[in-house]
Amino acid sequence: MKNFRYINSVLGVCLFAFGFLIFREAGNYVPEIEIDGQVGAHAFPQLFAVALMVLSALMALLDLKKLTKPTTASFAGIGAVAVTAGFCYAFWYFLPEVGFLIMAPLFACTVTAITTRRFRIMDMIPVLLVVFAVYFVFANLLKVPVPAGFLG
Amino acid sequence: MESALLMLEGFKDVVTLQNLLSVFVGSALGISIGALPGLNASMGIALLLPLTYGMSALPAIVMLLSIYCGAIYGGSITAILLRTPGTTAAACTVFDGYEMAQNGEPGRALSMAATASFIGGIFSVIVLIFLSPPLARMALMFGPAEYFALCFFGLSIISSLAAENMVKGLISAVIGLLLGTAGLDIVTGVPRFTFDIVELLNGISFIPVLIGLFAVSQIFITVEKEIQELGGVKQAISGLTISLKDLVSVTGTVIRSSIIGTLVGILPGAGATMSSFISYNEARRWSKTPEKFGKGCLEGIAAPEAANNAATGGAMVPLLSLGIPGSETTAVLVGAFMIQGLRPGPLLFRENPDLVYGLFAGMVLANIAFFVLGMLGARLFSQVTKIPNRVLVPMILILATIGSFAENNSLSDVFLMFSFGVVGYFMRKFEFPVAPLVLALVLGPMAESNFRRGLIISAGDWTTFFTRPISLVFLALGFATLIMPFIRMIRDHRKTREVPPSE
Repeated sequence: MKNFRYINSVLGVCLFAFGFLIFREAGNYVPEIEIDGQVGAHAFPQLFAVALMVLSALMALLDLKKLTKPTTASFAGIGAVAVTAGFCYAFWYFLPEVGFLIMAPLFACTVTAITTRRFRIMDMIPVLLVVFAVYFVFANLLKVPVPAGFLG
Repeated sequence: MESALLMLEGFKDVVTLQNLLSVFVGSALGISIGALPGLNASMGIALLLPLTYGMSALPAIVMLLSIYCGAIYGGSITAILLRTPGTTAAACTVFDGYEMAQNGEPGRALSMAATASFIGGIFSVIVLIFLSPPLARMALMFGPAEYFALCFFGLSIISSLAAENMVKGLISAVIGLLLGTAGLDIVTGVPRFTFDIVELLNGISFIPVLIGLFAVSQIFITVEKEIQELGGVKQAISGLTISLKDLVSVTGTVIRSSIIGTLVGILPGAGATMSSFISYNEARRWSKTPEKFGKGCLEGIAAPEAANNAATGGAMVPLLSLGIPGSETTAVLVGAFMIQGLRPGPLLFRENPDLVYGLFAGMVLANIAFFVLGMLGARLFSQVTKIPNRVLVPMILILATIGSFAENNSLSDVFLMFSFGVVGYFMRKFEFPVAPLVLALVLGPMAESNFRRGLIISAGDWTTFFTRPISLVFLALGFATLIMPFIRMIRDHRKTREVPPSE
């Protein structure tokens, strides 16, 4: 995937709009009781939102006038990243229902398969060993209540 | 002189088989806990407190102190090897530590971290022994105005962290500051940016953000590379330990960072994380080669590591001198003292001087113990960088998941971590530095709350920040740090204009 020359301008506009939304939202944070000398709960978020708008506008302008280097990032492998991120969210979504002991090995093996682009048992063995070791340390030794899922 | 004699007595008391065993077991457990993301020193002490129930006071508290010192050092191991800071105090170590590990020098980076941590730790214990009463009184002079000024000084580092791309660095910092405002406003109780989500009332947890931005984003980058390069070649390991020359080259940085770490550690609420960031910036400012920072230089590891371990001794100053726990970890330690029937504070020095100096001696031994274990383990830990990515990637993801979950036992934190992993990936792709965001997220809420409390105390008089001497000094230092990169930029620009173009 080739990079768009004016990507920083686009990002600048998006961040400016985000800053504007934050500024408006922060305007609602007015406390019911006023204390003498108090700066309201809205002041700092609004100050930061204004700073974000100014800086993002500056970034967009500098990019449009070609005063900054264009971003040269390559997104050639973004498909694999998107798939991995998707599996991460799926792992998080099913974790409370299915439980760590089942979901974690499945997730780890899937990520290994994505990384190597093949499914080989020999690749999975060390991964599974690590997953069970992590589970043992956290759940049994450190008593972290990892989600048990339907195994109870 | 009297302190020195009491210290000798303390060493006599502490050098028994049981105490030495407590120190080494405590250090080993501390290192392991510190290295596991999501578990920090206070959680480690709380988790392992029951182990000390059957022990007498000295070995019990010495063991917990060893866990404390070991955990602060342990955070650097995963920060260097996996780009996953084990503790928040090791966040700064990632910048140069991971780069060195990737350049084939994980052993050198780990040895530097152990050595700097050891020197910082020992320095702070010496300060604790000889100067704790006056320093504790000094810490009490810090009000909200001084804390705000200190946070401002800490935040001013952003300008140097963002030096390579100032606008993007500042945007990153502002986003961090905005994230820090989410949750219940601690002054007025107004919920901000919570959007009726209960989990957001406590604000955005720092650990999942840290793990997401550093570790998960790195996983995505690695997956991308693996796909493109089909396996990729791992850098061969070369530097296994530091040389005497390396040590000499960072002496100034380590001493300066130890002083900063001890002083910041004494301040209640400031702690190891802030001290490591301030020290990193000072190291960069004083360095002859500031351009090497962030690309894998020893000073970049020595500074935060010396500072965060120096903060351990610093944090004990208000606890032992005044009975005030200045941090989460020392608050848990108060519990351990009470279980043993002791009350930390001035009376402890009068009623149990043997025990107090035994504890000081125990802290010295704890620093020696983690140093020995760290140096011996450096070679072994370095092998982690040889693990193929097909094993390392799922391993880090599982560790990151459970680490994020462990802090609050909340799956929302796991979601937050993955989301910040995606954000971190795009930030790195679009060349937004991550460090200013992390720093702003740590210091922003502290700066805001202290600024507002300062104003309430002074009934809205803004001059309070400039009329109090300590506050004024930190504000002046902060402004100087802020404008320094701009002055340097203008000077460099002038220099390049003055040089005639070559034929």
